Amino acid sequence: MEDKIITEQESLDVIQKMIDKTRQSMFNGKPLLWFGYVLAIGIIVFNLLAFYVNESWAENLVIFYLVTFVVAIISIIIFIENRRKKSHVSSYSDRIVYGAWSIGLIFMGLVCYFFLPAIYAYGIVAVGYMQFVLAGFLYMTNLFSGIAQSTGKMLLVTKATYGVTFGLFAGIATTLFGDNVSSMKVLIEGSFIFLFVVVIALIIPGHRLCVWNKQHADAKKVV
Amino acid sequence: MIELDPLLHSQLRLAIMSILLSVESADFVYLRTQTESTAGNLSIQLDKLSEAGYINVNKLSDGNRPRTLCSITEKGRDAMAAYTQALRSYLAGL
Repeated sequence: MEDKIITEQESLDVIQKMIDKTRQSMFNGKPLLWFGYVLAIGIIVFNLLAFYVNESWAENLVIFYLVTFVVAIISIIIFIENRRKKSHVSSYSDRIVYGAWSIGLIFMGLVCYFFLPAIYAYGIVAVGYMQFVLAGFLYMTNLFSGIAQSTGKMLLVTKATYGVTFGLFAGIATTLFGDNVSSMKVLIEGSFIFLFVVVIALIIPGHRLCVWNKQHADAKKVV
Repeated sequence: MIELDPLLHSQLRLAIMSILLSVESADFVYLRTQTESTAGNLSIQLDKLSEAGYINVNKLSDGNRPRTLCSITEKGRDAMAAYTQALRSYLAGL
């Protein structure tokens, strides 16, 4: 690129090209995928163990969440520190994304911590309720992280899934406060709603961002 | 019709401003890679933009290597807004 005078149309092309190039070096969605799949696999495995082997496995799910959240917070701290030292660019969106996730993870960790006495006192029913609270926090963190705003298509995906989620929350809440609610039922439903939020808040946005980044990288190679 | 800012109506300076508009800060290496310009030319254009008050240039020391961090100022943001507004009116008049 040179220091030359350009036409009005070329000016617009330069602005567009540079903004596109800058967006390529932004958040790539891989941390969301890692975090999302680890949580999803954990939820499924621990619930299967609780259902088919022994109910007490569900209590270990809380320890698994706590460890996962702590590891995620430490990973964010290490990543931010490395980026501060090595990266050549600092973006507003990255700051919002990592800031929101740090705060969200701290709150989710605190939820697990404060639910521990209730879990030892009331057993798996408390694990079920705790997952409803976690689902709410994860949902809000995703909303605040602004990932939905990062790509137009993502916004459409999340808009649609948020509508479905509100319906699910309402439906399950009705079931929970109905008659003959067993502890296992609360656990399974709590796990199901948390798993659902993990998919819409972490796995779908993660894949969407990875695909979007790959498309841009491929387009760059062609150019 | 609004006049196009001559300082921004240059390929390299406009590219620098467009990058800085979408990030919090970017260093010299990043700007040079993204704009595919030479170090000498980029340095001259950064000085011009800095003298006009459109960008902040901070020279830092990161261990043994020096690092130049650039960020857009409020004046630069306003200038870019006015420039894109002027571009739109030019293109609408064609």
